[in-house]
Amino acid sequence: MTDAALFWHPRRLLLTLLEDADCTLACAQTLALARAFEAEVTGILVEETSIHELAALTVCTHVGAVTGRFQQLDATRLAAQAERRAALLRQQVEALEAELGRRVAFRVLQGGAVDSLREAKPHDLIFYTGSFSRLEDPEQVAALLEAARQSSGLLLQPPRQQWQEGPVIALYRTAEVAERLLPVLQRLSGAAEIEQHLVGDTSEALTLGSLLATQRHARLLVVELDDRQADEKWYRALRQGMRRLNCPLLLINPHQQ
Amino acid sequence: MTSSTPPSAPGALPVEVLRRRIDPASLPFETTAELEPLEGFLGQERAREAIEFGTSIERSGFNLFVMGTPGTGRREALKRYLSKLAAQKPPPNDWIYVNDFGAPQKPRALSLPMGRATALREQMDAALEDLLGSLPSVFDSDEYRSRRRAIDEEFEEAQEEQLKDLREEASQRNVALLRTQMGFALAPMRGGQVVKPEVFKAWSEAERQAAQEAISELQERLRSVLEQMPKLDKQRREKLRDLNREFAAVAVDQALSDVRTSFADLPQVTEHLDAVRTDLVENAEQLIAAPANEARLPGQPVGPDLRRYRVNVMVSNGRDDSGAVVVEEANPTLPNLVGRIEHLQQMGALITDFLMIKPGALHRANGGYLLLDARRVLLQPAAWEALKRALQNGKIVIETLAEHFSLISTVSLDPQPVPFSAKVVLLGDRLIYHLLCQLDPDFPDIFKVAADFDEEMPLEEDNVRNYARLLAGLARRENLLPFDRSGVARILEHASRRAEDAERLSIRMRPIADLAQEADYRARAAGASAIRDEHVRDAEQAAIRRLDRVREKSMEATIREILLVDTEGRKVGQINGLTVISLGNFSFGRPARITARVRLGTGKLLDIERESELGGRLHSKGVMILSGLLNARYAPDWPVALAATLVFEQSYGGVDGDSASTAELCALLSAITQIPLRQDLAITGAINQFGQVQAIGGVNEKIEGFFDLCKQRGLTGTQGVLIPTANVQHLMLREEVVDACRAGTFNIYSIDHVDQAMELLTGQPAGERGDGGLFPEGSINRAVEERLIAYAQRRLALGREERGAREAEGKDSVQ
Repeated sequence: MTDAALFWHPRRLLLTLLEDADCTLACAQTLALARAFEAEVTGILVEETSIHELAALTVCTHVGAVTGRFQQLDATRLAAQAERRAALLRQQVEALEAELGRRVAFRVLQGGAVDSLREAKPHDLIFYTGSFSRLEDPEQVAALLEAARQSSGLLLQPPRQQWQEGPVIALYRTAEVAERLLPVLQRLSGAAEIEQHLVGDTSEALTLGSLLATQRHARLLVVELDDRQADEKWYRALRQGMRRLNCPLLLINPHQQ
Repeated sequence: MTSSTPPSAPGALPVEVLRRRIDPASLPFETTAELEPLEGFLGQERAREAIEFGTSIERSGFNLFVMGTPGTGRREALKRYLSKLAAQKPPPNDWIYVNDFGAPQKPRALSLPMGRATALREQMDAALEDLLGSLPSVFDSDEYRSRRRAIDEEFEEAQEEQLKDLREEASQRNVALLRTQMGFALAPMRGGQVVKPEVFKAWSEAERQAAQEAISELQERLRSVLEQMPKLDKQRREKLRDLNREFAAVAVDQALSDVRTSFADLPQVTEHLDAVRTDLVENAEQLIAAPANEARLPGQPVGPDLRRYRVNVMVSNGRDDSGAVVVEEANPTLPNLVGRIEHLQQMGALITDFLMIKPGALHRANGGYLLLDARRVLLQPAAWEALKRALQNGKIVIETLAEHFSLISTVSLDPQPVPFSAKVVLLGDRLIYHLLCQLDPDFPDIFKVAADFDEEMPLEEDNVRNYARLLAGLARRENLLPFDRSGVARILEHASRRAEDAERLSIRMRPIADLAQEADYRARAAGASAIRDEHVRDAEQAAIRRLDRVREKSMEATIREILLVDTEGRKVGQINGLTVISLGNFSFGRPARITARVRLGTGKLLDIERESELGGRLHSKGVMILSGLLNARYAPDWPVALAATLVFEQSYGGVDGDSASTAELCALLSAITQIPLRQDLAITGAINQFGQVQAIGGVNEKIEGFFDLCKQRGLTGTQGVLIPTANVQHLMLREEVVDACRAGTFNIYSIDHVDQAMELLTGQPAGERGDGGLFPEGSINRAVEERLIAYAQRRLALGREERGAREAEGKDSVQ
């Protein structure tokens, strides 16, 4: 299959790594995706400054989401952690470069969790990885979906989840898109089966897709983004879906191709 | 009889008694093809009655022990008999094992009417197959998704509502509620933005204090909100569980409806189906979400694990009304008897479940008959005890050898015992029966009926006809050519020979069947349409030929005079005894030289065989008997002053039995009297203390053994064999021997008393005590007595001389 034959073909992988991302897993999957699409890779490690700023505020209190335990943030410790993380990731990016045989742009971005998304170009596939506790923040979910709408798509990788052996499950709004995206899925699926469904809209696709993918132990869930503006219904569907998902979610935006 | 034989000596036996002939013309058929096969118990009236009683009485412990020599055909006849009985009995129930959902380690045993077990398994498998499709469909349905989404959204809204309220309150108090990687942060805010640290430091003390207080208060609110989150989530999960149950129940009820309808008449199955439904409904979501099990058990399909709902058919008795079953377990190991629980090794662990329970012979025979070989059961570790427990307790408990010997302590299954009710028939030899009676106190209580199969039956007209019918059955079962009347007659003579009795027939059918098969082979090779006497005879001779290497070597050694046996002339203290050598299925007679030497002594009779530990106990007994006879019969008023030695010459392999005791006595009498014995005669017979000659075994082989030697050296007409009169009825000699006797070149004499033997062997009268208490002059016995008295007198004289010498020595020493 030639590249020209692909209906959806990202030219660059924008690997966005939050500080709590599983870098090793992300690099391995970036390698696979870059090879599948012969895409360039740009890696961005997001160093979230807000937490550092909060830590500098002596009056700020931090509460554990699960335990409800109060604790004071330690600015020094947070800074050291960020430094170690960046060093480790640099090593892994170098290894990724060696594997790919071409340069991988890499830098550390200081800012918010979604600041890196603003760099996404229409031909980019954003590979966003990190703890999904951030998806509880509606603003961040909105930013992610907006970035997906402005680029080729968005790949969300749950932390600590290897790709499984089940099928690739894809949900589209039209049969035409399903047919045209099939070669893409074949590249992504390897030897896995491909299971395709037609759905009404993105929020329904996210709900049904996450249920199916969990039941089938899917290798990858692919959802076609519709061209409407993302709304609260989408946000909820994405949050609920990501809570139960045990496989990566690829939101494909064919309208930018 | 030679001219030197005294008139009182017995004459040679008439030819007619040397072999019982079956006249083919007396048999009322041409071939056995005309006969109706006999499939019952031939000549086993006693055993038949016992079996009929044992199989008809329906009481605890009335199981059968069928004893007898192997090869009597009792197993096949018994199986045929039991099969007929079983066909008249009601068909036994089927048995299945199913999962006990409350205690999976204790599978439940359920009984179903005949033929329903397999149907239940098939329908259950079909229902589970349906469920594999219908269950995901139900959970993929729009209705389910819609209701699930509603629950999720309700939770989302409740959660967001709580945080929204808190965020608004915080905002009003200029505090930002921020999400972090690990939770939430509360920070001072101004103008809708979190205050930078350097700005915050520039605040007045009062402002900072106010912010601190606001944050502290909001911390508590935040904590209570966060405490609500798990509760909300729990409520969500409970609602989801109820939703899943509701939808799963629809699919499960649909899938199980056919099974329920089919087995509505069986409350135990309905009860189990209720348990299956409850478990399926409860675990439907996990079943759908279950990973494709990498460590699958045998028969487990890829996908959700539905094994625990399946049915393990232990015993299925088909669907036709064919009555009870007759099961024969040829290898009665413990697991083959009581069943076993198989295990599968996975990742270093042994795993099992109720589907891996396998039935044993007890399960299969339940409600019918079970045939077992007693010796094999006793040889298998723990099998006998397990069989007894099943019979005593009336239930089959599956146990393993490892558990029995406490070798493993892993958690395994403990299946519910299956009630056991079958007639167990043990087959074994008599020794095992009597040992069990003696050594196992439980045995008489659980095997109350003994059926003793005879090995022989009288050679009578009815039995001859039934024997022919038995051969007809054998020919049909084994696909042999039919026997014509000459073939049947020959087989009957062979059976009589095997019985070692001219008036009886051996009913050990295995060797007869072997002979019949070989005769069939020869008949077919000859292109015959029926098995005739020559085919049977060829088969007999060929069978002997295959086995007679040792006999041939022994004969060769005797002819070459490596083994010394005279067949002519006369010798003092030397006689031809006869031995039988058994080589498995083949035995032959061999003459053996017996010699005796005497001298003055103290009355000790030295049996060299015993002293050298080559003689068995029976042989020693025979020698002691003849010693007693010698002491009591001759010179009873005189002390025995004889030292004698007796030996089987060139015997290196041990001698047992008392059949040579008459020969030994004759050799001893010859040695005492110095009267030579004829070497052209051989003798066999057991002696008693009164000189009577008693029956021995192997008479035909013994005669034929001496005949063969004489024939090799050339028959003289004086040669022959002396046998006990009691053995005449056992004569079934080879035709060759009979022909020689008819021609007068060989002779068989029957004797009742040692005197007759001595007269034949010496040509002199034995003599009987007269009125004066003395044997007549010139008789053998007179010579014996005189010689013994002479020994005694000599001994007394020697005693006196010795005493005189000692007394003389005593006087000398006093002086």
